[in-house]
Amino acid sequence: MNNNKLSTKDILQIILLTVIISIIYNYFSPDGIPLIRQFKEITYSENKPDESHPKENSLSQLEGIKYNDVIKMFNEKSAVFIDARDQWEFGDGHIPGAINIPEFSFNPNDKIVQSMDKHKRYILYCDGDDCDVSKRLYEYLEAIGFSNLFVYTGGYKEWIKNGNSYEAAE
Amino acid sequence: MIKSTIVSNKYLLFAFRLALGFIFVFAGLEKISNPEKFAVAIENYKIMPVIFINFIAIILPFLELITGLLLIFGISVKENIFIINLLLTLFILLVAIAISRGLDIECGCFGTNDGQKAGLQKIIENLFMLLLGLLIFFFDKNPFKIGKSL
Repeated sequence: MNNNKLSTKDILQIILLTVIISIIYNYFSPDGIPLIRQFKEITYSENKPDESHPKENSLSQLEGIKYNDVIKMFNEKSAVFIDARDQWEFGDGHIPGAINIPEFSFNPNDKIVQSMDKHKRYILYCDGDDCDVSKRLYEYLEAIGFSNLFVYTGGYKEWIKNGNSYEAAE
Repeated sequence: MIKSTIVSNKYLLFAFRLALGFIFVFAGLEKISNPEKFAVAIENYKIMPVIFINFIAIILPFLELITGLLLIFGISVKENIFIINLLLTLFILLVAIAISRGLDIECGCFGTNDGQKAGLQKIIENLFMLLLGLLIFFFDKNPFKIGKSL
């Protein structure tokens, strides 16, 4: 046998061995993690807490918010909107008054993040149902102490679909 | 003649093999001790669909550990160094993409508490290791191994 020839069979054996050992180890390890990573479940509570009584954050759930509550809070100006998309999408159009914190380049030491009141009510959104950046940003902000967050799952698409006004960069 | 050059010196190649092997064993062990933190480090690169992240975070550290061990003991050297070189190339690309996207993140290279950033220094380190890996791949024929094949 030529010792210098690369053996595909050996490579596959090494990889297969690795996969088997790692999955078995992970299964029995106290530090093991689920094979498939999932976002926290989104729940929608009926009674939205007012700003003086912030909700309790849950470790396993994200607090979602539906269109009717969103539009109510928008009209009451009782929540600040955070657009989690990148600056170009934000520039093309966003919910009026929203601030842009792109999840893509989130930095907890950012001036905007540092200047925000952590107990104020914030509604996070991105494109719509199938985007994840607002959910990720929710987790990042929650991790640094923001206590009154909501994810608007309908997102910008639903906002526009319902004929609401928007702001865009010049 | 290649045989007379320094890069094909069998003792030097053996030293390279041990060095790379230990680096990979160490890197693997650090990550195995905390898969969740490693998963978060991968997630921060924002390049992988979320559903694959945990799977990678479970497998990759063991791949580093096992290929590192086999390299140290000289078992299937060619195949292991091939895998290691592929991983190093992948790491270089990932860090380069992170830099180009302006991400300020931990590299997650040796566990996650080492505070090493995904930056140019990481790319240079990985390029250096890749160079060692390529030398081993092309020139290693040395006798300090306990097996030819698995």
